[in-house]
Amino acid sequence: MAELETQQELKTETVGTSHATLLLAVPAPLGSETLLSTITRISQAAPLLSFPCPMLLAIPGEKAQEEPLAMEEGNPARLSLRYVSYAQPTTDPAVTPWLANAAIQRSIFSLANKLGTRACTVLGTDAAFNREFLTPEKLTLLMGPSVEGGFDLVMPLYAMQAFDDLLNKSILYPLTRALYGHRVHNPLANEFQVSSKLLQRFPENFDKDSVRQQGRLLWLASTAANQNLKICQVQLGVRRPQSHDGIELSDALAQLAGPLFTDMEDNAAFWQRVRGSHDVPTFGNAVIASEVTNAVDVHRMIDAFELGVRNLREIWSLVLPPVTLMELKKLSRLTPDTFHMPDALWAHIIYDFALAHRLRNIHRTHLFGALTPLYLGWVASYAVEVNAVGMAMAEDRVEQLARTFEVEKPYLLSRWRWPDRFHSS
Amino acid sequence: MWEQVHQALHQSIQRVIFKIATLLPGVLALVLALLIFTIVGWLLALILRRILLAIQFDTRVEKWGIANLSEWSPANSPTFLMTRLVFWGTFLIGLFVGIAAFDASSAYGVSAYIVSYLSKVVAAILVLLVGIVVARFLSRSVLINGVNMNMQYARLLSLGVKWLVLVFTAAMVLDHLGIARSIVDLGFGILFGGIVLALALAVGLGSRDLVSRSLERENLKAAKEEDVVRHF
Repeated sequence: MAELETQQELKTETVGTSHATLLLAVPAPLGSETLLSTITRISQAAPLLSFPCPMLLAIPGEKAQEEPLAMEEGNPARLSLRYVSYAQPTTDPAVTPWLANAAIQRSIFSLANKLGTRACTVLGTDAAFNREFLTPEKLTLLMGPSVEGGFDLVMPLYAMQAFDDLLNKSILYPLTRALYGHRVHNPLANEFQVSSKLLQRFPENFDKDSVRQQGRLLWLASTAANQNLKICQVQLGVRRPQSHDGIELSDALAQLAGPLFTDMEDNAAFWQRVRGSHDVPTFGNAVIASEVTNAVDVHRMIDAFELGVRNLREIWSLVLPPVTLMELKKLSRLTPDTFHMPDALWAHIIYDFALAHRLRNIHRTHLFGALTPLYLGWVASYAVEVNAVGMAMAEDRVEQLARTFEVEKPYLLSRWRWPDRFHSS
Repeated sequence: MWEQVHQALHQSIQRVIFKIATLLPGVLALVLALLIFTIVGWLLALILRRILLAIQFDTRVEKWGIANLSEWSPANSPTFLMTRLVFWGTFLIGLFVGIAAFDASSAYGVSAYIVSYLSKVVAAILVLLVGIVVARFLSRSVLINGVNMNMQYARLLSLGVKWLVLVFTAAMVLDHLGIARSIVDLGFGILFGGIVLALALAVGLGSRDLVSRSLERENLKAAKEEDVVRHF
């Protein structure tokens, strides 16, 4: 490991970057063909920028270091693309994909900080491997705002189907929007660009501070909002859902919502001052994803929710106030056709679970396990509504939920400041 | 004759009073030792609490990556646990000192026996506490995972696990205290073996078809749902 670090430092010195350099990083080792495709797309995208700048490709590990030079022969645009490798973290992506991704991003940020680059564009695995997803035009769109418009964070905006990415739609997006006041639709993006100004907010040895960073994700938009930096979004079109086979829903909740709740604790002083939310500038043309034609069968999800109401009341009572428990009991008596979980109730549930995470009322593994049936209840309610009003209204439905999270924020503030009050209510 | 009775009574009263008078300083020493060590323990806990708060011990524990330890007792912070440990440790030392003083003032030599048995009692209490915490943790884990796996009998399973751990703990405690050791060993062996055998028979023979049908149904349902809904 020490040898690898020394090699990386040596390479960093020999690369000789300037402050105008743009660093492009890919998260996984690329085969010859994928590497050629990536270089080709970058070489096609570079001239489209109004301020062309030298580029540097960051690749994980040390094995790939000779590859880009060999590829130059097959590179149609003959772009002289230099490269540098960064230490690849050892986190297993099959078990904890989001944590592994965050570890890679931390490693990339450390490298970018050491090099002192102008900005750093991180491409997700989808973007690197799927040439239809991230075309040269979209790559230009992703690289442009920071270089040309002075934005500190460029986040992607994907066109999603109504029943894709539901954890983001139900928890991550509405919660981050209510907390930090920015309407960034994918707060946990795979493709993004950060400016040197935002990079400097992360310590130089960001990747080595492993114990503190353990179990944490990078909430870039929250960090940028916290520092009052400029954020924008770019339309990257339809995103193919990633396959995370073998990961349980409760584990996914723990890996995604858990770090967000931890982030809430760290930034409590900031988000308690934020009221409402504002749009962030969005570039590119909106694309509509092809819609699923068959309606979702909600019976299994409602069964899971009702089973939770029958069995988990005692555990939920450690987290939720009596009035919420009563609402949930009422919900369990509804028929599948009329099943509807009010947005305010869902917002209160998430806020109460965030508070329980902070107070450690119950073991954190139990906390997210207990949240799972409630989440399935929300998904069932959402599916019933979307099935009824049509898939086209799904986005509006998510926006409505996000607005409710904002409206109900005083409830969170009150519970956060005086957590013992609900016991007497 | 009445005089002899009177004399016997008088002598016995004298002996009792003498024995009480002999024991009294020991009892007083025991009470005094407990009182002093309780106050010392309280003071030490108070000082330790201030020091730990000043050095932000809770945050440091989290940074050292041993936050998982506190999750076994989630309602209590590491600082609280440390101060409690110091207080009860000092109290226990006071108890031993008191018993030794009591023994020195009497001529019975019971302190060695009491101290050795007391250490067993303390260990048994610790085993009991750990058993209760583990039983609660495991029963919650089974209940939550059972519900998330759509098991209708999740509560029953959770109760079973809880009582199994509690019975196991009780057997350990009684065995440690040396109370009815042979009965406990035999009874526990029969009970535990019986439960495991019953479960094995139930799943292996009686419910084999039921379990396989149920799993098939769940898989089919899951596949149907996964076609359309993607959570992440």
